[in-house]
Amino acid sequence: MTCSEYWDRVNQGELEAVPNADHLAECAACATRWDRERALEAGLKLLSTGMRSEEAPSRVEAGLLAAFRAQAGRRQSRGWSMAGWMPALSWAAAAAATVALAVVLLHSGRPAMQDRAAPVVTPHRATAPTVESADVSSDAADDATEDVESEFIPVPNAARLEPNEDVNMVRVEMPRSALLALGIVVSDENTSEKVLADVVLGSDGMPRSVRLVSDGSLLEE
Amino acid sequence: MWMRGIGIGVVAAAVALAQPPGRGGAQDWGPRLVGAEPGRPGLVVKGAPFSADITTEITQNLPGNRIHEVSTSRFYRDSEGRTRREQSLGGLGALAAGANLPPVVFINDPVARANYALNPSAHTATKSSGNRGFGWMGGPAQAPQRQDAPGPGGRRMREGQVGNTKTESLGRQTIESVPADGTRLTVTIPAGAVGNEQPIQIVTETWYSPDLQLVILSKRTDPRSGETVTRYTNISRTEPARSLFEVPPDFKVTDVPGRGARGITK
Repeated sequence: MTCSEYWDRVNQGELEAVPNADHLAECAACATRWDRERALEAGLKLLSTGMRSEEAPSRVEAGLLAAFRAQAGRRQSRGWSMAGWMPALSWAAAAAATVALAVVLLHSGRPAMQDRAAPVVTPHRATAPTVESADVSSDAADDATEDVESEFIPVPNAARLEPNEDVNMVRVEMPRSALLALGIVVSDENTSEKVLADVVLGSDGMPRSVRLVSDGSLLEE
Repeated sequence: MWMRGIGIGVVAAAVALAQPPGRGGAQDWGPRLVGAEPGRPGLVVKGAPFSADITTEITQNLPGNRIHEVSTSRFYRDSEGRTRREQSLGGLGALAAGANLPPVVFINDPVARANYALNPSAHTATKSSGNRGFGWMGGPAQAPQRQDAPGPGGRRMREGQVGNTKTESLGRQTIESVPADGTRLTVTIPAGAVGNEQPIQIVTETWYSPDLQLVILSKRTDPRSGETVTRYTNISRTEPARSLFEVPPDFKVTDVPGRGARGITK
């Protein structure tokens, strides 16, 4: 099979995700191109989903607040008095603050496994690795069963997996800044955020590809 | 009275806000292992038991800098083709920089048709059945293709020049007391093929042991990724203890439902 014949078949959908195809094994240029296209595809999906979390400009929030305050001011000007409600409101505020405190304390006791973990969402659901490390709570493990996985991103310059190679996977929690190793640009403000990643290991123990894992809620976006 | 209520609320809110940030705060943690999952086992080789240390070193020389990463593991195989791999996670390199992750053990038992990933520090294990892949890397292990000289991954390759690929035999040598056949594979990426101004040569030398039916020494040099050397050392041909291929009784075992390999083999 020639290079053009190979890519024709790929473009026609006859060959889907074929890293082990004979032609790729023989043609380094096509293998490199295949790796690049795969990385580009994964990166674009990552970028696309990651931008979903972008918020409206601050001027929109400021405008809404101004409108809200103007509306509240009109209500007050109609003579509506809050004086009689102050004791009840204060106790309600205290109760709300206490509940907030309890939530924060409870949350801080668990590993934050899904901290904006993986913005890439694919329809594939799979069971998460369940060999938990000693410091992972059962809650966290239960949460992991709802994980959503991105597609695998090849580790740049990693050796190609051989057809008969022993392959295993570990799940690691790592800082978002570690994604730089995959060539993914990370903004300064979120480099310390936690991400959860499945790392495929070749028989030499070296990482071959990585996929990001997120909680199931992202699937609903 | 209501002033007191407000005071309590303010104090509670202040305490809540004083908690360490769970999300996106200053990094006061390091990478950690969350789990492991057995994947696609390699070829099953019967009648050739051995054990060995496996070391992989990756070296990249950059202008004014050098990157050196090492991954080590201990490997066992019994006469029935069962394998055990005690894998350090040092090879994760930049993905888990500065972390001291615990080792993981992967057991493949083709007799029982079960694969395990063990976390020795947590005394837990994950069990899966059959050959599985995680996605695009392909499906179950494939038998070696019919060719002449041994090549990377135990495949046998035809000697000579085909297109941009040149295969040479390096003869037979004894490595770690094991006879091995050497092959040099040189792949040339022509200028302009991947935006390169000059041709790029990727050279892979492999030493294949017919007795053990695997490559016991390989060296790959690629100007884009540096040099990668994988070697088996301390090779012992004695039969490993049967218990090495069993999950210790005090480990909690969790089944992983079959997923099936995605990609070309689905």
